[in-house]
Amino acid sequence: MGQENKISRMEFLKKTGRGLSVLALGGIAGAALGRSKRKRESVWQIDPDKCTQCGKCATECVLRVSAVKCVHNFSICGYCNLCFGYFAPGQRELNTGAENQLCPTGAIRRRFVEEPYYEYTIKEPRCVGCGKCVKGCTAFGNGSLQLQIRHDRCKNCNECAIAKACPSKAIFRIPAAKGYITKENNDSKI
Amino acid sequence: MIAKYRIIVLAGCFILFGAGSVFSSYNFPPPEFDSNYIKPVMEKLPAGADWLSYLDIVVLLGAILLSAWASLKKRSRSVIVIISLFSLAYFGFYKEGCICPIGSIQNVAAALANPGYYLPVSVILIFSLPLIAALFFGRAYCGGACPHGALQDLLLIKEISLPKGLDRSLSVGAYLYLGLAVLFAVNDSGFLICRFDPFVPFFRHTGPFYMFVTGGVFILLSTFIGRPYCRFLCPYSALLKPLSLVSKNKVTITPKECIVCNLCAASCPYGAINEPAAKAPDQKRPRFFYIAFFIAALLLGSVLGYFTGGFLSRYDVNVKTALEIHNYYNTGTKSAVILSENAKEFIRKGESNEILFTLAGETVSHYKRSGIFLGAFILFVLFLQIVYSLRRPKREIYEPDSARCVSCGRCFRDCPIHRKAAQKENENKKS
Repeated sequence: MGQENKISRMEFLKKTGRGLSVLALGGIAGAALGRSKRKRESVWQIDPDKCTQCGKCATECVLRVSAVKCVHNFSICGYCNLCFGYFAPGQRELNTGAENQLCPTGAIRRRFVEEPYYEYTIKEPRCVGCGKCVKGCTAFGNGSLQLQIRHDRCKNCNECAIAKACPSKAIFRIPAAKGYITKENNDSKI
Repeated sequence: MIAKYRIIVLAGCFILFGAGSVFSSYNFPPPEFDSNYIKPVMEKLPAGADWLSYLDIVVLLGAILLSAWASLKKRSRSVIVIISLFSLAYFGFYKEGCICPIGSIQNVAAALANPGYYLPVSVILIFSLPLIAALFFGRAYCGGACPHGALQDLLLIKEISLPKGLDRSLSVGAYLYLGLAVLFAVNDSGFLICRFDPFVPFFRHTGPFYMFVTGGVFILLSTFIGRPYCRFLCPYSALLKPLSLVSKNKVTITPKECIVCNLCAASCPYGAINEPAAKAPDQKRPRFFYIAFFIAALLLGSVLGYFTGGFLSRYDVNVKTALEIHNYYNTGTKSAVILSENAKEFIRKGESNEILFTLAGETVSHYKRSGIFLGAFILFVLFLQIVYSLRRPKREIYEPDSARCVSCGRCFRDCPIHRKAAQKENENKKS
């Protein structure tokens, strides 16, 4: 029978196999795409309302200086003289002395604006993302200091190592166009 | 009139819900400044645009097609080396290895299992393009477009050939790894392939210590064993192998007919060249022997898989936390128990234990159920591997094994017919 037909048995099997594989691949791709919630590109980000500043962001990221940094959302900052993100508990004086500062790397700059307001800025290259300042600001202040994943540093890993280690499951994917979640504008709770 | 009314209502809503709720919730209301101080804006460095990821797909497709052309049509090892150098530089060191088709298996598996998973179209394309290409050009992706393969291929200094039996047994590792990775991905417990990828920390110049150790081991191994990751672990190769078995076009060692000169036999560092062989005398094994063997394998696999699944579920975060919490409340001395961050966070939040336990129970049973498939799959692969190795087809010429050949083009140079043809072509070009 093999000789009568123009193609041999082996070739027939291969052709069938190829056809079936194309169908299976198409099926898998189609089904996966159909079930997917969103189809746009996405990035990892921290939900500041879920974040508990456990400090894992500084240590779990695949980058040795984490892609997570403290960012300052000036629009909700109280510009306090006694900033709980800046001063270590039991500080001696409210000045920029190193012994008064909470940040282990001295990454926050305090600048006088007008009585009684002070401006706090993050020197981002120094920040290691430990979240100590965020903890202080969230606990007692407005929460204008927040941890966010910096997309210029983030490798956008397929699986975020910090997201897996995060005890409060605060890290998840958001549309790339959105990029950052701020506290006063957090619509990530779907 | 209506427009005016609408504006008033909107303004009212804004005062009630917008401005009111924003400022009342702060301990220290954001101040209004008398001086001409301007509030800085939170710096939001943007992520890369969508179209950039599509550019990567175009580059990937280009690299695969070029590699296919170089291995099938142009038949030039040097062109393949140039393409793999480019892939290593672009997909490896520039894009830093993410996202790659190998890892995308997990995204697709997770999307199939969990409706609502975030799966961009670009990831689907990255997953399926090399597989579709394998149906037409063999493993052209492995040959030139994969940065992992390129790195190992270029590092190979002096190969030692592994015994055939060892090579075949170790290559089951790829299917096992694929099965485990899919099991973890569908249960939403993490991406194994990415977490233990050996080469990504080198591409990024940074990473956890254990990744560097495994990476270093693989890099050392690949200087004398051809492509150890590709052959024995790469889960994507477990998909590419069966597909390239039915591939339309295949790499051939010689451009014309093989004269069985034996020169190419040792050229392949990956043990992918099949030598001519006489057909083995038919050992008549009754057909039911195979069928019984097959069924036994599937049954054994399912049972083993069920228990393995239960065991593996301990690595899921929810199950881990549930076990810890259970221990915590059932031991007399609570202070003696050292809790993980996850458990501490759980207790701090004060959520109900019951919910956690039900969730963990569901995860465990899901693991067991998917473990059945994993076990059956692994034993099925083992069965096929054994049957395949028992098969002794008649072969008259030297030819690459279509599943194991990674289209690296090393064997071309050793073929006298290929050399003659290449020489002729060069002379034609000169004149």
